[in-house]
Amino acid sequence: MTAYVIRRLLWLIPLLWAVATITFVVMHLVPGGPFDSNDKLPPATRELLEEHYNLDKPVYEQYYYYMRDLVLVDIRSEPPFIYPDLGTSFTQDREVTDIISEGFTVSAQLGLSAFIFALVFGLTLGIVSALNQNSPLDYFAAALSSLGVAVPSFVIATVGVLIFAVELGWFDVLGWGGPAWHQMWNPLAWDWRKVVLPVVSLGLLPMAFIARITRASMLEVLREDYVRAARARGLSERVIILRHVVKNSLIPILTVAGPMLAALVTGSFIVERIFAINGIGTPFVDAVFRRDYGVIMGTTIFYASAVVIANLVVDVLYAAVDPRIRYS
Amino acid sequence: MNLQGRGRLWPLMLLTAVLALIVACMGAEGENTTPDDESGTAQRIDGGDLVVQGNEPDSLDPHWSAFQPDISLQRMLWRGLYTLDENQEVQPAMAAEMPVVSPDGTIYTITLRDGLLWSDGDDLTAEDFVLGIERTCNPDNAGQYQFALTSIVGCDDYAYAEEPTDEEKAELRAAVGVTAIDDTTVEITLANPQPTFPIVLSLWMTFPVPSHLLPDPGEAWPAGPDAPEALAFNGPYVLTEYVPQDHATLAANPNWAAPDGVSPTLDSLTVRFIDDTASANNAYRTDELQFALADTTVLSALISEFGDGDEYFESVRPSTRGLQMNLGREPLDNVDVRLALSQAIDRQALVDVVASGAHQATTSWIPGFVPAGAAPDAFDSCCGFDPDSARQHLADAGYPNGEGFPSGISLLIGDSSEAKDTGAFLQDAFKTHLNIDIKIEAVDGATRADRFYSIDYDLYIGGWAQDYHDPETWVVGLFETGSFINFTNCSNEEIDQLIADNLSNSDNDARLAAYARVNELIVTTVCGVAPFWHENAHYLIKPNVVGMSENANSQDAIQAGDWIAEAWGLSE
Repeated sequence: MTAYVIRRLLWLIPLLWAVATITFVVMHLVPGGPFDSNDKLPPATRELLEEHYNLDKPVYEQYYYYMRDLVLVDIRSEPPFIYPDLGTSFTQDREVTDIISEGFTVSAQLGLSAFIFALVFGLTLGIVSALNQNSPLDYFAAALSSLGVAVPSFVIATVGVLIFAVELGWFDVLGWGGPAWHQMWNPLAWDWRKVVLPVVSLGLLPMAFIARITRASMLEVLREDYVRAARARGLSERVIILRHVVKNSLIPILTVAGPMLAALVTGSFIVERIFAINGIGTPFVDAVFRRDYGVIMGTTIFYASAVVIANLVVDVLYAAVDPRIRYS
Repeated sequence: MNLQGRGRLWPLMLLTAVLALIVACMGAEGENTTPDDESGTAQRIDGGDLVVQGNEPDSLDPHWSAFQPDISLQRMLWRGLYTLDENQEVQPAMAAEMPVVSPDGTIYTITLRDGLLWSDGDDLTAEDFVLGIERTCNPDNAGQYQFALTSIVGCDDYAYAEEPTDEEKAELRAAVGVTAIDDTTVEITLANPQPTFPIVLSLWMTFPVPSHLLPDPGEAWPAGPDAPEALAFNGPYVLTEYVPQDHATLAANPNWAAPDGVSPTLDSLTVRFIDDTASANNAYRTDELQFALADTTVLSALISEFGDGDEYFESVRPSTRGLQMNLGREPLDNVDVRLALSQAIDRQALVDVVASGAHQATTSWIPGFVPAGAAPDAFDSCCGFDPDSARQHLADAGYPNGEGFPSGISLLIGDSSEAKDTGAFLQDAFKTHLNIDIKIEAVDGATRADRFYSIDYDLYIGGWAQDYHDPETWVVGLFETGSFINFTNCSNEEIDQLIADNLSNSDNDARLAAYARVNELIVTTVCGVAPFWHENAHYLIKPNVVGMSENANSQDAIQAGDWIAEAWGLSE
């Protein structure tokens, strides 16, 4: 298993190189530059800015500088461990690493909360639905999960804000109410007025997916011979469901859960924008529109790493859930 | 939350309630009320926390910045030698009096007020202002508004030196025409007289540098989160907290010099960074914000909800938008074609349909409230909506009823919904009134800007916002033949001559008359632009907010009255 994990992590290097190279090329093929939003900039000042940020150099030279800084370790860094230099934002005058780390701290908390919400309610809905197939409860759960899939998050967020914040005054509209990471497990440290609406808005779609996959997977497992055998052996229904059915239904859920978690914790532009949450989604989208090459490159590399690592975690969890799976 | 947890909360809640009661009683005793400047009825309280919507600045560096969110916040934290009053007149701020100008108009001697201090208690001296100007001219800083200081001797040489060595940089810096004669006297030397130079000395790119903290003009300005500790301030407020993408919190500067006698009364001012006005309006409804920019896509609903003049306010912005044309391409090089296009636009309908009536329809490039500007309808007879005249102009250009008009003419627009609606409106207007077809090219903002700067377009929806309250900022560089930001290929000998003759003209009446004529020439010959609206600003302001008057004088950048944010306060 250890060798497998190391091998997968080593594969990260060529993968990230490919992602960085493709992003770099595509980014420079698109017209426009970081200073084009200022229509008052005299050409001489524009040239000065471009020179300041090495944008006056040929693209291959810029690529060389970027990859060199990305690969070379910064021995002066504090704390004294190695991390890549992602450069400086061209429009915000800040380090890309700072922008990503500050935004990710918030987005990860929001995404993780939405993921837990999706997992808890999605699994519950799916299990209840499967155990009561073709009953009114099943139809209700199916309707709820269809709603979650069909209605986009911005509609849920907007309607939620109007009803529960503006009309009823239960929740706030602005900002994220998560605590410092070390207080994550203290419910009193959370500002629930700021947490509920963004989490539900972001988590409803994945919840619906999980519910549908859980239901389908559960129904398949419920028809397996070993479940019938367990019943014949006189095991209680609770033991059969929890120990045999639910556990064996988890494989397809795990498959989608990894990329889903990676997508959720790396930020949602729409939910972050509607609730004015200072996550990582907004800087990334803004960077694309403003051609902030440094932030585009940094966040793309970061996203790629997050997805690869999430998939690796899922693959490792497969082995934990299903004893038949072994990596060598 | 479980029951056990709730049980533990009761003592906390009781304690909070008791504390709140004590604080409320203390507040009532400590109130120091002053009459509200605006209504004369509300009583200003001494203290309170004001939360307003803003947009996050790109940088806190006044010597690098170019955009309104930056300038709005920077003006709360720093001030220059001069400022503009409510009548747009230059008044001393950190300077003791108006500058003494040499007879030839090139040497400005400015004396600072006595006893000026930075927020950290250090002396604010002439050297700090010298360093501010040097920073803007410094090539390592690459200030986006360096061009505003181009008349200062040596500033351009310093900024645009070709790969200078450190020694050369030091020499070029020393040659910049700004010097501290002593601790309280600044001397600035211009290459040529510039009548508007005192206005420039009120702008952000001349704000002082805390030289005791940042002695080198090429040194990086601390970013927002570091700024409270790493910087000192000489404006009405100090920065106490900066959370990227979230908010900046300010408190009164104990060493604010209050040149106009107005000092902050708030305990704290929080500028909440929110780009989405719909979200901001919801937060305004839930009392999370006391000021918000109104969402203009639902303007009429907001006006009925909040009441015109009660909580909703509208004011002019010093900005004009219009249909820009590339005169370097056929058939737009023909003035009759340009006039036909201009006269085919029903500007009031455009404002009503596309912008929900949020703006002021116009045919003038320079707004009427700017010196040398013209009323919105001043040029209606020549260039406003007149389909018959438009068709005649098109026929005079050789395209009767649109016949033979080139089919490939395109309108380059951004990808915002307003841009798309405007494009569709104009496309329909040209088809309906002139029987010509134009194509719409919708691209993202950066691509659109790139093509505009490369003059790679036929028609373009663009505009301009003034940097300062003078007509020269509306024309210089934009309309002279081949000038640095002339992206329309406008070329008119009379415009060239008028601008060249009046850049250094100290006869203000003659100067303004010349710029009024330039405005007339731009519009009547459609020299690169057919203006269609002046932008208005729309605000929501809670009734208990005082001193945040709507923008009566067009200096506001983001919030109402942010040119004098020290006047903001709360009433009972």
